[in-house]
Amino acid sequence: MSSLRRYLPEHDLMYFGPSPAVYHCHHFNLFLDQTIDDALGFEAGSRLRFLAAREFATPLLAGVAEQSKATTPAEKLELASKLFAGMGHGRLQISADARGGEAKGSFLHYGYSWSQKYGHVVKRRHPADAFGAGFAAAATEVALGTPQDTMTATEVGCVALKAPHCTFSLKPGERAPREPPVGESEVGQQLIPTFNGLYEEVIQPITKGLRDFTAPVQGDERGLVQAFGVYVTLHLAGYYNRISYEAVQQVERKAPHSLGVLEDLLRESGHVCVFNTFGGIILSPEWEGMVGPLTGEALPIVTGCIAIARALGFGRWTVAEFEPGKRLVVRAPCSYESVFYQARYGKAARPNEYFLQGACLAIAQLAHRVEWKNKPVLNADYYNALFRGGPLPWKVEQTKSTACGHPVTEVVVTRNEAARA
Amino acid sequence: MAQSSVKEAVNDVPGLRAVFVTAMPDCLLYDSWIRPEESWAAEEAASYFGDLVRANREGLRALKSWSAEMQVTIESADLLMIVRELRGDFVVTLAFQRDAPLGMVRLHAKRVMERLDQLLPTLEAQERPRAVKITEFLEKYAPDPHAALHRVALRTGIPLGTLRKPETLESSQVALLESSVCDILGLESLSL
Amino acid sequence: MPEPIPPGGLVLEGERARVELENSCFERINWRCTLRSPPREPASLVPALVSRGYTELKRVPYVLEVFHPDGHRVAIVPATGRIQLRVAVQVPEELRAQTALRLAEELAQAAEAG
Repeated sequence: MSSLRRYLPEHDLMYFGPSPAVYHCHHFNLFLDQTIDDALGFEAGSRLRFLAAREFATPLLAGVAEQSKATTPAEKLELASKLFAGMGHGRLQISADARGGEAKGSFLHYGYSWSQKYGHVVKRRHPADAFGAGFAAAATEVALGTPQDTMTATEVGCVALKAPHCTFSLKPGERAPREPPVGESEVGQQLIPTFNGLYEEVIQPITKGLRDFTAPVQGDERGLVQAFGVYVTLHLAGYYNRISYEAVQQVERKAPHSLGVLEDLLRESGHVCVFNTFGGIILSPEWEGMVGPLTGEALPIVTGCIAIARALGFGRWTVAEFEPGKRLVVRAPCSYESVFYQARYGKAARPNEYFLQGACLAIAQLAHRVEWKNKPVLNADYYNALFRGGPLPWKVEQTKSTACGHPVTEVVVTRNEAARA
Repeated sequence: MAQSSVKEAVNDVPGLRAVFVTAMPDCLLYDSWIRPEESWAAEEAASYFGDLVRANREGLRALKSWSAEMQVTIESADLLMIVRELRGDFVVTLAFQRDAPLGMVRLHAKRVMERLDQLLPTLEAQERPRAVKITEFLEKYAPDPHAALHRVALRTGIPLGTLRKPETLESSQVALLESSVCDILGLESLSL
Repeated sequence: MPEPIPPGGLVLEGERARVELENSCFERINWRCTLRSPPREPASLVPALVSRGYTELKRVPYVLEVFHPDGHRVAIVPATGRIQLRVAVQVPEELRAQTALRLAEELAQAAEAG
């Protein structure tokens, strides 16, 4: 597994085998999928999520099979199961031929983590594992050599709906329209010369340390990666990007008055992810060993977060300006969002790196609103309490994006003077 | 009702940590007394106890059972609580130390209820718009409550600004709102 | 089904050690361990545990890791003395707290003997 992971060191983008990849936690995964379904309705939302999973799992599975010299269907299906589990997505056993078949999942990341996070609070009405469905369909096509973009998979049982396992029904269907690929060469064409920012002498060693530590990490006996208080997945950047941007395009077309709300929720996906994951990393013994005990000052949190972002494959985020209590400016030559957008859709009409926006807001919150020296517990109650008492004390704006043709991507976080102190 | 009246009603009750008086049917905090060393937020707690009694009543109705004034006893790791309807206008919640003997707790609860029955006024329930009750219910029970109205706005197409003033919603919008909230919470209907 | 984790977290006190649930760990897997008589050199815990059948895993120098034969992990930060216990996932959730405390007591005994 670790041999498949590699970075573009100057841009801090990550690949897993041939595929652009990032690490993301269950908070992000669940909130983003939920937002897509809220925007499009469950049927259209889960269809989009399935198509995106199938599209971007295919080159990964095909590439790794070739690299591993897996030739028979059984070998390729076994490899797919190992990859799935190694990436932290759970256990998936596929039994299919050209006419279809079934897949059985246990501890699937989406369904299982949904049950853990929300299962005692609300009742769910629809299955959660469209990503698993798409992955199973792609694995079947790659293993059997059947025509690409034709195998369908539907989740017919889900642990989030209280079933004992997740089960999928696979069968051949109509060929879906082929999208322009976004792989390594397409991403490479979008890259502009990289640059550094402030505090690089602090940031770069932490990034390296985190990469060293996470290199051998893979799914446990359940196929899950539970670390830093979250479930972590090594995930496909193309999946996230396709579902986000296509949802935006569909809402722009059909319900343009709802676009602002959708963008708010896409930003919130980034915010909830970074707050919990980066916060969890900062509270970990690994962080304490690498960086030392927490001082409670804002700057080490900001530089630490930038280092974490690079280690997780989000891009070469840099600190352009930081005035504690007042202003944070993050710049980057690109992000995993901007390179995808440009490669697939061309120039963007406006800055639209939603994860980056939410993430930068979360960094300001982590730096200023958490009492680190008191060993806080960053649970759901703590997170929800951030929003009580009116608007957040920080606001975020993306002022530039390389996806728009600007020379840099830039996000500015400032104190919200209208909010409470 | 003056804060001191609630305090007087419970002055001599040993082991009592707090009293919450919830006005029904809207589950709004009417009055409370909390022991100084506690760090509880009365408004938040009070509304849930009103919902508890209401849900219990619906559950009993489903079993074709009925109780004039229902009492619920809750035993948790560190609390012993009596939650009781009072005249249908109020729900009174008494929170005791866990080690208080149950028999004595019930006896004290009965006495406190009798005192409060004399002290509390008869409330005229104000009819609040259903949309207001629905959005309050959503914000109480939705996971990620800070994003709940955004989700409703996205699902229904009702502008977020309009949802923040739910009393202004038209009846067709109220129906959409209610349906969306049921979906988000996984409920068949809302008993409001 | 184990009881929900109380809002204030979970702390178990033993004779020689205490364990408290780590940040936002909702499956009762990760525990912060505090020994009542910590060793002067935290790193000395590693050979003491290895002599009791644990296996050391060398990944990065700033965190020392040893694994119990049953799969539990002990992480020690030598610079600060912080100790984290990670209970193996095969242990049913309702037994993980007690398992963590038992591990903590074992660490304390190893520290005293070593």
